[in-house]
Amino acid sequence: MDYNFAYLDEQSKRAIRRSLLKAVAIPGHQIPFASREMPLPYGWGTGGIQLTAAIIGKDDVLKVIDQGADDTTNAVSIRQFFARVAGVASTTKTRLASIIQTRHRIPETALQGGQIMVYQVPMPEPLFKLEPRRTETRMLHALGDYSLMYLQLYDHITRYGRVAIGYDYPVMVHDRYLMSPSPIPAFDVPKMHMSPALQLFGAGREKRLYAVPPYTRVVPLAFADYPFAPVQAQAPCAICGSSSSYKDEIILDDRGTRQYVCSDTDYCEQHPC
Amino acid sequence: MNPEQQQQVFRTLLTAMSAPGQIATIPAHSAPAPLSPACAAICQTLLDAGSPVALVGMCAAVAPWLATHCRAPMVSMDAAHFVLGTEKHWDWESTPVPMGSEEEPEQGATLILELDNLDAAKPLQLTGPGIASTRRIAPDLGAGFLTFWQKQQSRYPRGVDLILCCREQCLCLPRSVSICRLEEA
Repeated sequence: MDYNFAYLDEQSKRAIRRSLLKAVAIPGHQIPFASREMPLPYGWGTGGIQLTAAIIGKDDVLKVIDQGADDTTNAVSIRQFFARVAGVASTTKTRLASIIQTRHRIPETALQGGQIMVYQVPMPEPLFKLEPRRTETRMLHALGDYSLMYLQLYDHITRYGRVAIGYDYPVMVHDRYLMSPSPIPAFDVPKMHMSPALQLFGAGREKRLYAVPPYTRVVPLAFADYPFAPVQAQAPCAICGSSSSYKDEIILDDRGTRQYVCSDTDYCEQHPC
Repeated sequence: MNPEQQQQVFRTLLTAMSAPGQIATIPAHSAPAPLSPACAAICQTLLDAGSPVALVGMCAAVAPWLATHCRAPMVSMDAAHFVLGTEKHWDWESTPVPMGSEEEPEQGATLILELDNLDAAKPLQLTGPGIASTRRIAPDLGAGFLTFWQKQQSRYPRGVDLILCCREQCLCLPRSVSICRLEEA
C-alpha cells in the first residue's frame, strides 16, 4: 500500500506549516496544532514525527537519535518509517544531516546553519508540575509571570543546596517566554543558546508545537549567587576516552560497579581513542 | 503546484522566517496569477479552506484566483489569518490588522505584501532572533512603517508577521525583530 509522501496528507501538512511559521515568529511560545493520529502510540515521538513530516523533502538527509544513540528502538523505527513513507536518505553523522529528529539529546558535534533540529516533547508546558491548569499557565505566560518557577529553584536550594534539576531544565527564550527544552539533560542546554540551527519542538499528545529560531537567546533560569551548574559524570568515556561528552551510566554487576560511556554514539565512534 | 513544489516553497519560507530580512528566491512557480510569482507560490503553499484571507487594495482578479487555486475563504479584516495587500495601497496607520491576544499571540495575522522592490529604498537595520549580529535591509515599505513596527514591538508578543514579495523573491519580518533606521543604529 502506498502512502502520501511523508505519511501525512497535504492539508494536515499545510496546517502544521502555518503553525510552524508562527512558532518561529514568536520564539518559545507554545502554539496549539491539530495533532493527527499517527501509526504509533503517544510517547514514541508522534509530535516530532509530524513536524518532520511537514518539513521534509526528498533531498533531505535525516538523522534520528534516541538519548543520543542512532541504533536504539525509537530511532531505528522512526528512521525506517521515513525511509518507507518518504524514501529519504538517512545518516548517523551529525554534520551530514539536514534534519535531526531527537529524543532527549542534542548531538555533541556542533550544529551548523541550515540544519533543523526536531525535538520530541512529552510535556511542552514548563510550569506543568507547579500549575496543572492550562488556563492558568496560559495566563502566566501572557503576563510573563514565572515567579512559581523561581520559587521552585529556591526550594531546591534550601532543600538540596543546589538546583537539583538534571533534565528538562527551564529556560528563558528571547528574554520573554519560559520554555521546556524537552527532557534533554541540563548539560545540553547551553548548546541551544545562539545555535546556528533552527530548533523545532513537537508534542503530539499535548497537541502543541514551538520553536527557537537560529541565533536566539536561550538562558537557563538561575540566581546570581546560584548560577546554572549542570551535573556531569566525572569519569571519561570507557570506549573513546572523551572527558567532554555527556555520559550514560551503565551498571556492570550486582555490586554497584559502573561504567560511563558517551551517550552520543556518532560522536563516540569518531572520537579518537 | 504539486506537493513537492509546495514543500520546497515552504522550506524556503521557513528559512526566510528564521533569518529575518534575508532575501530568498522562491524555487517553484504556480499557475499564471494576478499576483507576483513569489506571492502566488506562497499563497498556494500556505492557504487552504482552513485559512481565512482578507484582501486590501488588490485587483479584482485576485479573489477568484484564490478561490480557484487555494479555496481560501474570503473574510473581513478582523477574522483574517492572512492579509494580502500591495504596498502602494497600504496605509500603515489606519489598517486594523488582527494582532492576536496576550494569551494567543499566534492569532495575529500574517501580512503578505506585494512590493515594487526589496532592496532599493532607505536602509533599515534589523536585530533580534534569527540574526547573529545585525542585518541591513532596504525594502520599499513607505511612510509610517517604522512607526507601525515600533508600536507593534511595544505590544510584543502581540503583532503581525510580514512576508514581503517582489517578483520571484520574498523577505520575512517576524514580529520578534527590532527595526530602526540605519543612521540611528
